Amino acid sequence: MIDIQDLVFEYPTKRALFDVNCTVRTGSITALVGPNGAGKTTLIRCIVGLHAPFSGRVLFGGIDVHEHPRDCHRRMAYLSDFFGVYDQLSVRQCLTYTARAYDVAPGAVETVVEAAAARLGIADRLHEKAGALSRGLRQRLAIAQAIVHEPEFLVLDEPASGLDPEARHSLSALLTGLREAGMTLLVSSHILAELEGYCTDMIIMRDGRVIDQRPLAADGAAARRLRLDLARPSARLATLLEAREEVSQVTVDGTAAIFLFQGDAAAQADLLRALIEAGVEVAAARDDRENLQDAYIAEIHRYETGRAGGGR
Amino acid sequence: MRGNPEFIRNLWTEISFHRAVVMPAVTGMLFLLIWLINGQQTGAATAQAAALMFCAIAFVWGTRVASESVVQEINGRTWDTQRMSAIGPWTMAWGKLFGATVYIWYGALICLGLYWMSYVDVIPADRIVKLIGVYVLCAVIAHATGLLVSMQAIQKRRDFGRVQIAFYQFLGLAAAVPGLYIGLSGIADDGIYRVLLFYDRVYPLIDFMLVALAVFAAWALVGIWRLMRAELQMENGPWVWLGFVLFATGVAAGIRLLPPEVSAGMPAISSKAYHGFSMLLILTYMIALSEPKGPVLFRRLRRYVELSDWAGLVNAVPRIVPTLLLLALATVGLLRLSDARVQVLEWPVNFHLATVATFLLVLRDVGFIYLLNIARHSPRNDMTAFVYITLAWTVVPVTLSAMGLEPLTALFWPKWDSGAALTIGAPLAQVVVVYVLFWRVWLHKVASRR
Repeated sequence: MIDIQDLVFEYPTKRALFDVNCTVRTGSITALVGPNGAGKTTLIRCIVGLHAPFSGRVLFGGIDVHEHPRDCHRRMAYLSDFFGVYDQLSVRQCLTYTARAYDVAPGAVETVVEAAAARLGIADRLHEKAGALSRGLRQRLAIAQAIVHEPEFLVLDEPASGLDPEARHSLSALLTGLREAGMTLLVSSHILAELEGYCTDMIIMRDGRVIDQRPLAADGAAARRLRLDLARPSARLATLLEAREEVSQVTVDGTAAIFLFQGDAAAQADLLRALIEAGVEVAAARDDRENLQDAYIAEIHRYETGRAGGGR
Repeated sequence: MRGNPEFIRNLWTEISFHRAVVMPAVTGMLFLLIWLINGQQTGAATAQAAALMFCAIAFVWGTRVASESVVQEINGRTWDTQRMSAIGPWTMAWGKLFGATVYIWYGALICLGLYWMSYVDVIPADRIVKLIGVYVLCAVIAHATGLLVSMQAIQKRRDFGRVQIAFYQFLGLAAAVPGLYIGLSGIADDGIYRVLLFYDRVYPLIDFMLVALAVFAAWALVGIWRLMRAELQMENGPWVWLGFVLFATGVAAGIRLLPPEVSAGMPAISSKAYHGFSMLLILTYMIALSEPKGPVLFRRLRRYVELSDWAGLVNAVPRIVPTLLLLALATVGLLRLSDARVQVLEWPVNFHLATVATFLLVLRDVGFIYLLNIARHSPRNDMTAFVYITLAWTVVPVTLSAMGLEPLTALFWPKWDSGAALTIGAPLAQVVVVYVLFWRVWLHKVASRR
């Protein structure tokens, strides 16, 4: 959906992005992570066409965002980390204004307003002034404004900052729901634990560069990481797994095995049956999501080591 | 609910039942008070009171509101949402200009109604309509200029306080008040229509001003539209600015300030060329001080050259470049259309040398403004340059003159009565110094980074 090519951005006193290349898959929730000052917000603002890059380009479904910003803006939405809402307006007026501002047909405005409010759980607040809402409800209103025109691509910069644990949990469920409804999301945060629950991909930034991009949990026909827990260690397990076509990258450690598995639920059942029939005492089998924090730390460490060794 | 969403949002924000009631109540009570003081009679006194209320509401308050309409969106962090909406630049421009001031116009129209009521039995209706036209157009110019200046400022900075907004408000008022003064003076107290000579033809001053104010208000709106395009990340070429420069220069060249019988006795300087040249000087400083500039812009220009992207280069090139070229052409035109030496009263003036010196001093100032902007990063660069340039044209030469160091004033003023070495040499030396410094900073800050 998003293809970023050789993107360079400069502020008057420093270069903030250095030849950034990365992509955002259609249908993914991509976590954009990195320390403060890594260039996450600058990259996001370039992606949504609010910053004009020094060089390079951002393609949104094949359209250059900076050559045709208005065409792209109709189909995407962005919620900044420090967002504002019109305090004097009611929730309904805020949503109605945004719907009209995004060219929603006049006859459909009321429907989309109520749908967005219902989706964010603020349907009972439509008559309240935005200025009277709590921080969490304002966040919901801001997200409702962002999605009122049903964008294909939604970008959220630090969406959970300032939210209480309950609101964060709701946000996580909401983002997963939006993805299931067909939206592609890019979410920036440096609270990795909160991203872990719903992100499918990760882009790691450091010093204005993308140092890694990877899927965290694969979809459909792509390979998944599976973890087997055994009741007792098995000397034959590695051989049995590696013999199967749908299995790769096997790591066995005592009573646990982690490997990539390419196949559907029936294929997975078939594999388990074969292992049990071969005498392997399988106690549990489950998807193994790569720990975001571990992956992030490992990649940062690799980057720092490379830089110290002059490999930058 | 069809229409401009930005205008409608402003309607929701600005007009409430309470506010809708308060405005006529307050203006009505004030007018009633004046009417009672005036012996319960309408006439010039009540008309002036209504005009004063109009000025307070439309000019002072309205210009403030217009100046902060976009700035408030930035401070309230709603501007990004608006920039990412599907609202086009033109819709956004007029939605903001007339939406943010909709309550102001509500009050202003009440005042104009009272103005009409006061004068309708005193002076002919067509005169009242023309006077009201001047008030309304000047208010639009004040609002549009305030918004225009604030939008030009957001190209360079994103943090605004009361001081900045007050400054934009002041500039808006400064743009409108001369037009208001001249326009209202178009009809004398005895009802006589004053006239103006424009391109050697006589026009009623108030009619000329009504057309001129309407056209300049339209230009201000076009300016807002162009800046809105820039905010929405659309490319703007230099053509609209150049069109405005040529238009304003053409208007200035056509106005004759002195009556023909007086100007016939003046030196052989082309009035049209001199007025056009003067307008270009003002516009040169305006654009040099207001447009965004800095190392990133120059690195971007260099990149366009390296890529042979000439269309990109033309779009991004600072507006000062074509403006200076026009100024150079105007200088040549002025030299060709005027005598080299003229006599002003009892003083002989070396007009050609002084004109060239003026051009060189402007070139120095422009170089200095750009030098400051690429040498250091600060939102105050242009204000700092403005202060230094003002000092260089006023306090410093006056002080030197008072100290008896008259020849040194050639560094700051175009000399009218000296030889070429001093008149041209002094500013030329400064131009060389400023542009050599500019080149050195360029090498250090722009060319060194790849």
